[in-house]
Amino acid sequence: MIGIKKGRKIKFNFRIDFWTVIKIITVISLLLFLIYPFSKLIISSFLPQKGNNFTLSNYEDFFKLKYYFSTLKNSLSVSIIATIAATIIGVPLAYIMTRYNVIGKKVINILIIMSLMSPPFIGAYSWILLLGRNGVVTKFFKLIGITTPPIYGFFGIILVFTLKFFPYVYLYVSGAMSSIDRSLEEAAESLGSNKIRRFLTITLPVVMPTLAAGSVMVFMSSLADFGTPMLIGEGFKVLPVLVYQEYMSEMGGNANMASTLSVIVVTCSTAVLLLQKYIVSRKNYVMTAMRPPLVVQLKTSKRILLSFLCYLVAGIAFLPQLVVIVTSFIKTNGPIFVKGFSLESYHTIFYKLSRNITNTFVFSLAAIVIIVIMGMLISYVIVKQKNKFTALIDILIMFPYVIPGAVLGISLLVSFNKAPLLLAGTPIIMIIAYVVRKLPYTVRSTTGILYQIDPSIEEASINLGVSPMKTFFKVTARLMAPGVFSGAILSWITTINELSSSVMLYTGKTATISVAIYTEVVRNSFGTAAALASILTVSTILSLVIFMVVSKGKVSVI
Amino acid sequence: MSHSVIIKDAVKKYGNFTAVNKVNIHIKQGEFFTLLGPSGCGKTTLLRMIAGFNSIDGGEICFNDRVINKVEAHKRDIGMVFQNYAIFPHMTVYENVAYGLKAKKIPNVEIAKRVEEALELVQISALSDRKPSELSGGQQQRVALARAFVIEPGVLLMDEPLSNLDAKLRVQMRTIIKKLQKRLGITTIYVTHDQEEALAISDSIAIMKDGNIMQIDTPENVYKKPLNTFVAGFIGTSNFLEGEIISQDENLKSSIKLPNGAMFDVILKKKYSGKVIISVRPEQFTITEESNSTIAGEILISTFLGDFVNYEVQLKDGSIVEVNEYTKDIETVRSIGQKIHLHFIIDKISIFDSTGMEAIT
Repeated sequence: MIGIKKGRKIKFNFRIDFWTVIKIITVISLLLFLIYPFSKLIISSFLPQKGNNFTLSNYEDFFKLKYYFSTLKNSLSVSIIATIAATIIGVPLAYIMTRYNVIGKKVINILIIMSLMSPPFIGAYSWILLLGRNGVVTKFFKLIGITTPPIYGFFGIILVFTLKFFPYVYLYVSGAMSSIDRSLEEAAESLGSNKIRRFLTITLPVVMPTLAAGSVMVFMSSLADFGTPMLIGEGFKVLPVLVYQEYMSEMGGNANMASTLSVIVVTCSTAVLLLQKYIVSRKNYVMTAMRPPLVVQLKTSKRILLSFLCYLVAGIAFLPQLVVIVTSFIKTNGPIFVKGFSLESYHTIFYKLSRNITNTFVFSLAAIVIIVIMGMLISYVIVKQKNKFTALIDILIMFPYVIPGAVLGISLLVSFNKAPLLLAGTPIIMIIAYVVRKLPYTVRSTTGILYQIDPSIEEASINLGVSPMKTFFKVTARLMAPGVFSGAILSWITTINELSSSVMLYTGKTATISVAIYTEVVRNSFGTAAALASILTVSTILSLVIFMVVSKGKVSVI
Repeated sequence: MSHSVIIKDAVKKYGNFTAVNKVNIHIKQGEFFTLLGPSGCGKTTLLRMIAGFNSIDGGEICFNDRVINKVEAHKRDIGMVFQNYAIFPHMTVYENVAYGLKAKKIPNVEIAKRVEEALELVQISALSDRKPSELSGGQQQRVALARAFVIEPGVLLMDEPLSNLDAKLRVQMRTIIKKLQKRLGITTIYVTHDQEEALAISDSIAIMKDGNIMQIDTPENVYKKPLNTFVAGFIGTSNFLEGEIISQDENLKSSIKLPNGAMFDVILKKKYSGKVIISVRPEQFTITEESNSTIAGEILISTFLGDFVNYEVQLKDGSIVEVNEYTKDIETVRSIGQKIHLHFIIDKISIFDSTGMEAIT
């Protein structure tokens, strides 16, 4: 008897827990593909152009030389101004959309979400097609004798960033505004406060933490964006563009300087994020709207006017995608568009660039499979096995939020360019970059839903005789599915549209659609670029439609 | 065949905090046993130790004579009903109830038969194909119940199963649970903070406070013979009066003096001197006109409750006691401000030592 008992005990102690294995794999992956590359990047930021002595000279150069330092000023100024502009558009739009009977709210919401989800540089590219030197609108105004202001540089970047990123502010704030309990504003009203005063003293302060979160998203996205300033910036250079040029340029570039610049970008975005977290932690109002705010029923004329304003904003934001699709069907003669429509551009890309299309979907599919599996398991560990260790995993998983794609690309390149870890130039390194960058979306939305699953649901299954492992697959995983799915769609959309890390990591064989669009635009082959971009746009729209159908209209993409 | 449950010196610690402190309980096979206490007393912690969701930091828990400390939760042969029901939202009522049977690899034909029987017992056969989101709270509760007992567990655990239901449904459900338990004969451990529910439903009650067992006894005995002032106060309502033993003879016949000078004689079960605490339930007082050897007071509030009237009576020393008078025994409800005299039925009251930790009658 004693012998048997002992045997059982030993078996019990030596049984390797499935979740322990998951934690070990997670930590090893994080160490290998995040910590190690980023450490390598930091180390190389302290190395001179040639040699191996530790030096501060890169940082000194950065702050001394106008060539470098001005990019920081440029980056910060476009990001700040774009954030302010996005707030100015997003907050009133959110207020109008949540409080008034605007016609066709769903359509407006879908247009706004689609403009947020569009490929990052398509905005810049379309605005060049419209307002650029040979743009349609520019030419039109020239005909009637008006010279439009140049779209290139500072102004253009702000225009594109604002229109692309204001949806963050809009979506965050409208969520918060519809969850303010009606009684709050009614109380203010009964105390004799008028509409504007009510908005300024009650509504706005209450949504402030959410607004801050949305604004920070705008700021960080603007700071990290590479495609837009690259295409439309021309002489106006921002940090991510400089990072790219320093690393890529065949002459005169300084790879270590690129690392230094990367560290500076990441420091900026981390600082902003921490500042926001600090502010929110001091001022957070938990709201449960027992009675959501009333929707004011406006009379016809006012209603049409407000609706028109909303459509105008959403329409302008969505315009680039329309332009791209229309352009893709225009006949071209080399780089020049000519009159008439044709499928010529599509013909060209299916002949010449079909590899890029396959690459995009194959790499993204591979990445998304890994993201879904890892996302589910890691989220479970983070939520259900809470301790200091899993909290650290949580923070590390989210860290790529503050790393611009170009920076992540460089850090992977400097880490995996030698045997035995020679991955540079392979599809594997692209997939790794996608997983690291897009995993946070899936983890966020999965942990969100996991927090809502009552722990006793699992316990109920276990005490009915189903082991914890089987319970995970039979019960928990099934209940997690909607969260995993919506996160995975987001990860998927942003992966197929990914440019900034791809552009650092690609070789001729591994170039994706985004990369091809970028190189085609640089080569002035606008027709083929438009056709490629249309493929991305249509894929994105289709994915969003699937997402909305499956999530039954409950659209929350952030 | 259901189990007896023996808990020996069970301990649960969270850091320096002892949630369950050397608890000893013996639950007979087929018994309906209730863990009762205020929130934070350790009752749910103890239940989860039995279920296997909390580790056991000291002592042991046995089903029959098998120690189950190290047995994993899913191998303990337990059915549990959770406070929030924990119905699987992605399965129908039928699938929920069949879940545990499927895990036991029981043939489908038998599963169908047993699920049907179980649903019939809790009177929801008609809802078999519904999704949980289409059920009311009371119906979900029945599903949870059927799902737990259909596997014929060795022990049935219930963690405040009725606390999310409205008052009327609660009374209805507890009758269903009690009948079902008697019919199936499954050893049941029930957790609640509602003393009325515990009295109504249990064969035995363990009253817990701060991780310790204060008393284990039948519902009748915990009400009539509380072992300490905590139990006297927690079960039903008790008025605590201060008294002092003036004299005690060799037969333990003792004279006790109340603060207002009134005296009474009672036989204690041990030698004791000095201050004592006298616990009198509202219905153990009688209101008299007689001023001799009684406690004088004035009616502050009277509340008419149908079959009885509840008075708050202020005594001379300023303290307030509750007194009940049955409607059938009186002509009219007494008015506020009326001066009265209270008398109590000496052989029904409880007397405790000065700490309140030990009953001495």
